Amino acid sequence: MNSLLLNTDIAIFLLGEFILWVVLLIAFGVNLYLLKKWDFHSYTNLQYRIEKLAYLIMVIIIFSFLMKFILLPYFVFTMDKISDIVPGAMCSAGVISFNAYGMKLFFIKMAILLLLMIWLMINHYDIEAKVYPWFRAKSWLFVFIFILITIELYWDYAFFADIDIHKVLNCCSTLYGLLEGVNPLPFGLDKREIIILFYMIYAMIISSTFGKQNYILLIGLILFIPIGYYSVLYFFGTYIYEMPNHNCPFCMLQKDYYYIGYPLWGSFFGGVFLGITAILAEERLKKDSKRLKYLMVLSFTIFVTICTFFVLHYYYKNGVFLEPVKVEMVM
Amino acid sequence: MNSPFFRFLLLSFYSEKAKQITVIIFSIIIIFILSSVLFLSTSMHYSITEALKYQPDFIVQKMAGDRRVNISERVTDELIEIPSIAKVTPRVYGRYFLKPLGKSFLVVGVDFFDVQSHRGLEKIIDNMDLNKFFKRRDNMLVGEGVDRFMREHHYDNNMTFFTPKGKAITLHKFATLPKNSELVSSDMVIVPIDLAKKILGIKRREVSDFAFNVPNILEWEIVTIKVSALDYDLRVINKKESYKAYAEFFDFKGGFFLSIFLIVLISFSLILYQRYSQLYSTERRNIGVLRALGWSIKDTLKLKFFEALLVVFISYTIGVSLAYIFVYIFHAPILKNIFLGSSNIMVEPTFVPVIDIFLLSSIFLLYAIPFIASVIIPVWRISTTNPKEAMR
Amino acid sequence: MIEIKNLNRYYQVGKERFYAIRDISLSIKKGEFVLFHGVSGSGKTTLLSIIAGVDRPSSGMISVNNELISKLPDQHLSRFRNREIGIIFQHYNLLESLTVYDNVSAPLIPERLSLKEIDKRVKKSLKIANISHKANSIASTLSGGEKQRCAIARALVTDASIIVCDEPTANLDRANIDIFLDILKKLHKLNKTIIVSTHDPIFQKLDYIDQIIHLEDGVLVS
Repeated sequence: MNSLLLNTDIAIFLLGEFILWVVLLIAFGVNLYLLKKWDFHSYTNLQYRIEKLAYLIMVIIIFSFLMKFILLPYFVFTMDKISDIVPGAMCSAGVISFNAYGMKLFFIKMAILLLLMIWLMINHYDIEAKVYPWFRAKSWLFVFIFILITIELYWDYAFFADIDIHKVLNCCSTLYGLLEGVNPLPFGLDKREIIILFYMIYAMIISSTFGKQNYILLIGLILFIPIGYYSVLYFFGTYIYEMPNHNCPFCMLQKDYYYIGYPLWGSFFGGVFLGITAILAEERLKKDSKRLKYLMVLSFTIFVTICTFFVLHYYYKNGVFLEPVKVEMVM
Repeated sequence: MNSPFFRFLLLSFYSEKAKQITVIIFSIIIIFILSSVLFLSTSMHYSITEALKYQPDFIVQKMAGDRRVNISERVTDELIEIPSIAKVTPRVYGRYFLKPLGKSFLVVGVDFFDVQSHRGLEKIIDNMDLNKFFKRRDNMLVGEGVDRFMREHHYDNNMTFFTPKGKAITLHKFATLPKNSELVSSDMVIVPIDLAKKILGIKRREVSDFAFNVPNILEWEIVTIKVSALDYDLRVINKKESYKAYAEFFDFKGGFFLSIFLIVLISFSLILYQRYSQLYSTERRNIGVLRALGWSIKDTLKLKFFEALLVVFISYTIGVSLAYIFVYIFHAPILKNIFLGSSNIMVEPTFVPVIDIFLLSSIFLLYAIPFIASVIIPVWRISTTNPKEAMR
Repeated sequence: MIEIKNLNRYYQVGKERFYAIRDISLSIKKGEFVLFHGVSGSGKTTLLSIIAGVDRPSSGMISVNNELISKLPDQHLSRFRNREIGIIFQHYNLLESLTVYDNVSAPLIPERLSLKEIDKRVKKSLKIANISHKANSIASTLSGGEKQRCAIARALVTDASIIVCDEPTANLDRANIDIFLDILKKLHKLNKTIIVSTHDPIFQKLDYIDQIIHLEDGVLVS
């Protein structure tokens, strides 16, 4: 038995995920039953009961979504905390890359949140419509989500069970430092170009939202995912740390940086998720989703404001911008 | 969010208070126990981390069997040869037993004019008027626990120590050490190094052990290996190891509590499920009426779901506040003894309120997820009451 | 305008079907005052429930104000009940622990109105139903007649075009019956469609009844 599983925070995390899975399992069973028996045009008592059961699935998914929404930052925070006892790790970056599950787990968690959000959106329009037009679509989507959640639960367990606190590992300084020398930025861009792109894409997202051009918005979102990520990693992040060569997406989640990473990454991914959901609603369901889009704009604006604030704050304090120091040898 | 909805929610919640109150009381008790235990363990964990922060990175001791013995001062020269080690501090300390009372003090000898390996000591000495201290040759600094002991036994400012050879040395209390982390320093007596050697009966050319710092963590592993290779009977302890040992100890205790708590939680969930499934004819009829008046399932679900959330928030807030008062104001009577074992009376943990969002969300998750999970089906069932019920 | 064609409502018990109403067709025009007459168990409450969107038919067609309500998802059927129908139940069915005011405001909660708008509408219908003076009393403390007037105010608050009453006079004394009939007359003048299901002969003497529908064992008898 690995002693880490007895760690209070990890135990709470795993217990929470497990209970959610059990409740979702019930919803999953009900969902399969509905898929088999659903016939909206029938007048039978069975059909009326089934329509009520559909609400059980809805309420369980809302509950799981809310809790998983809290559990994701909790997961990151837990990794941050156990980096104290894992030798060599100084933040979650070290812990998450400890074994093969870490990164996979992180991505599956993000994917599940996005899909749950899409499910809730479809469901919203489905129960407002007169004949439940998307009943089968959302039910099959849930089948898929549940499979992902089952995998997630296994990886949750496997990830923590596999961390050996006696093995020394690398931290962000080595993880990302290795990239120094080669140009780590995507598409062969340099720093100045990526920052210009960053603001241009932001402007593109805003204007296409109000101009109702969904395909341009979609392109903007797809571009913003790597550009936003790398801009924070290699430019804005250095201003948060006030260290020109510190390129870590995780350290900013720590107390030393006032947990700024949570609102920063939260608003970034929140914006992306909301945008994707809104586009799907308009293009696939042909429903107007103004509210989702406004939330997306709000979310991205918070993100860009936080990023810009740190640069301006640094400039205001020191009168200069940060210049990266060339490092000859990297540990 | 429409405020008429919340107004209605509160009204109907209040009118069903008889049903809610038992659930709330049960929940408060559970949250109270849970958060008390977590507050206590976090607080102690914090004290230890703080204390360890001031400890030297490395300690080198000489072992004879399973026992630490005094080490010759000459080992310093060998240690200094190792490239990563810049400065080695010899340390003199030991337990002084007061036989009739069954208590002991930790006597620590300090070279006041040298750099201290113990960062906490360095801070204290920096803030001290050394001229005044050395005006008398029998001055000592005492920890909080010792100070209390002296006051309780009417020693005034002087206390007499006996060397192993039977010679009496009377020391004068110069000042009391600040109480920031009692777990390590409460029973300490700090005196100049020669005096300490006399009290503890350590030979002139010997010391208790050596301490040194290595700033670069990446070098720790290699330093450990090199020092161990110096001699067959040397033992090297680094700070991270002791931290890990403590952390594992607390995780173990915490895990133990957690497993007990799990059993409580399961029975609580069953009670909740039962309680919420009980057929309250008026509640059922009321939902039926609301449905007949045009509330959709979505609306009644929202009402009932928020009602459950309200129970969660009310009991969470009250339970956590009570635990806060219990642990940090009353210093957790009874529970403390269960947690620590009653043997270490002298090393009392300080109850520094350490509360962060993370700890609060731990408590919230551990309580809210099982709670809502166990009431979600009953809540759904009552919310989907047929409007036809109202026509009966 | 209510249109009903070949409406059935039955309950399946094992292999047997028990019909509450069988093969009913009728139509009610806007603003009509209609009486469903029959002994208890004749199916008049079931028919009333289906028209009010509270119960669902087993087969057949029913449309109310051009909305086909025989097969609607809950969200729509509930909105239909909310906007088009005001129900006055036999046992009043107030939320006993709330005040008259809060009882009357209950149907407006899902509508997402502001507190001010709700206040305006509630006060208006309290006035029509003659119960303004009891607005802040707890429902359980009211007399039978007051309870019914509170129920009327609640039925009016969403400004529904159809008011259905299930055995409205069964628990009232003579004086309160007169008050109730007065209010009904007032509503009739406001051009609301009123459907009363009753076995009380007093209604048949009223001169403003447009249609009387007799039911026996779930079947129409003319």
